[in-house]
Amino acid sequence: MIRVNHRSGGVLVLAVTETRLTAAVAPQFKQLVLDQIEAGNTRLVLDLSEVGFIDSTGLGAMVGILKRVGSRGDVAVCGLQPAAAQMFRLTRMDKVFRIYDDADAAVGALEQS
Amino acid sequence: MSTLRLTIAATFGDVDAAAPTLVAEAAKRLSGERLACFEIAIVEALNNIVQHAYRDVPDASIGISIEQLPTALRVLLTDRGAAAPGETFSSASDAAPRAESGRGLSLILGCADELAYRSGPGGNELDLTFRSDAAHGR
Repeated sequence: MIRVNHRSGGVLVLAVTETRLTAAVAPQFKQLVLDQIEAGNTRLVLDLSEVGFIDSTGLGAMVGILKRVGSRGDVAVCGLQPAAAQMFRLTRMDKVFRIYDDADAAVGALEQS
Repeated sequence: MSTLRLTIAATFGDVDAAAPTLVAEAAKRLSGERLACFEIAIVEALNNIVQHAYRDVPDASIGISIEQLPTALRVLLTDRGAAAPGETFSSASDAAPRAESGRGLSLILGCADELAYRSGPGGNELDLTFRSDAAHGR
């Protein structure tokens, strides 16, 4: 469901390996990421480049992750496919999340912040 | 005019499994962002049925039909679960930016061109219309 990649600067890239981030998988996805946060990883990049569709429950899971990190760290999102990007725009989540084209760009931004 | 009809089990996994078939049918009339919006609306509507109409109901099912009209797609979602409260589909306020739920209804209302909801002794029916690309551009 997620592939974990430790990058420089203490940034963790979590690549979602599901093609659909929806109500069917969102609770498990959220818990896996929360486990990483509780383990002390609070600078996270959520790489959605393999995700073709996100529903509101998947989006809600990501908001929950953002809230759990809070002021302890940073969360960035990258690799939005067109349908996922549309979901972010429709729900105005493009104003809530820091969004980058790819994982390298997101990691670079978190390393500097 | 052709009509696609199918029945799925009322689970989130079955909604996910059916979505590609529904999108393929809609792709006969819709494309690009309008097709993506169709998928969002249908998935949110089906998930609402699973989550609310059939809350704690095992072995439930949802009927889906997609009718190809001359200038639109008409989607009927039918269930025999609990009816939605009266004003549910008349309006929806935007969820707070950091809310973890509550966006589904506004997405349905925002993505469908027309919406009607009927409830009676035979069950519930959500009637969604999506104008075809050509009709939408007029």
